[in-house]
Amino acid sequence: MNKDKNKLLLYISQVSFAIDEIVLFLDTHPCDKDALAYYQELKKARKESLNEYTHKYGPLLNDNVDNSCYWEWVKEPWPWE
Amino acid sequence: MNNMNLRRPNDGGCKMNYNFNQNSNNCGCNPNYRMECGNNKPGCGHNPECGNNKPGCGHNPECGNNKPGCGHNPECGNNKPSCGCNHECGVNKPSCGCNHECGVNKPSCGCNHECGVNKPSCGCNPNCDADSSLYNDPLKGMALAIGYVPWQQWCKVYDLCKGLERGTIFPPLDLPFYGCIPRGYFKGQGGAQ
Repeated sequence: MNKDKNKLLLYISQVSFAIDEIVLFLDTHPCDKDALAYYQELKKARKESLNEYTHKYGPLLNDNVDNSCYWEWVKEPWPWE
Repeated sequence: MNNMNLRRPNDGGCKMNYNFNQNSNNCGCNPNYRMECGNNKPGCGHNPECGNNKPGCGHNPECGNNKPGCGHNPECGNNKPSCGCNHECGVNKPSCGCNHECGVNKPSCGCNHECGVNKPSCGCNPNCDADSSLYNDPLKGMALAIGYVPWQQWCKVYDLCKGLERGTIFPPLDLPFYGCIPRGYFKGQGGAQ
């Protein structure tokens, strides 16, 4: 795994974790405008980073497969690989 | 156990120096009401008028040295099988309970603030070892038995990198959980070994 791929994967992990956190906060603070704005910001950042990863290295999640002719998911390493 | 030599297991708790006359069981007590404490006690029971031979003298403050059921009697002597909460308990205190004068051997010393060296159930004792969580309790002084969770307020969150690293994006939730730090990193503050 090259350095850029690792770096992008780490960023996706970070932004995904932040979304988990903000979701928990919003569960108990559904009207908090600051939290809602931050959630939208994170959601956008995660979507863009996932698209970038998928475009460069293949699907990271099984709903990131865009190719309608081939199930690219099987080209990626399995968890034990 | 210290001072076990003061116990006299064969005297039934209160035999001692009674000059009990086998024929003098007419001291006014029911001869069928025998206590379990002496050898020669035909039924002296709780009668305060009994003579010197008071095998069942119970709570009688006039008990002498031989007091099988001396219970809470502040005049109890050395033999005190059930010295309970007696503040004057002597050396042998099998149920020292709430006694603030507990001695060295305190099997159930409970909340005694004067607990000595052996404190298997030291409980509320503020003199417990330095490792006690009492010294690290951030809620010290608050009312017992009331749990609460303060309402979380929005604040400036960590950046993404630090959030994942710290396990939370909220600085107020980034707390030092000493008990989970391996290898005793915070042992001096109550952390695990």
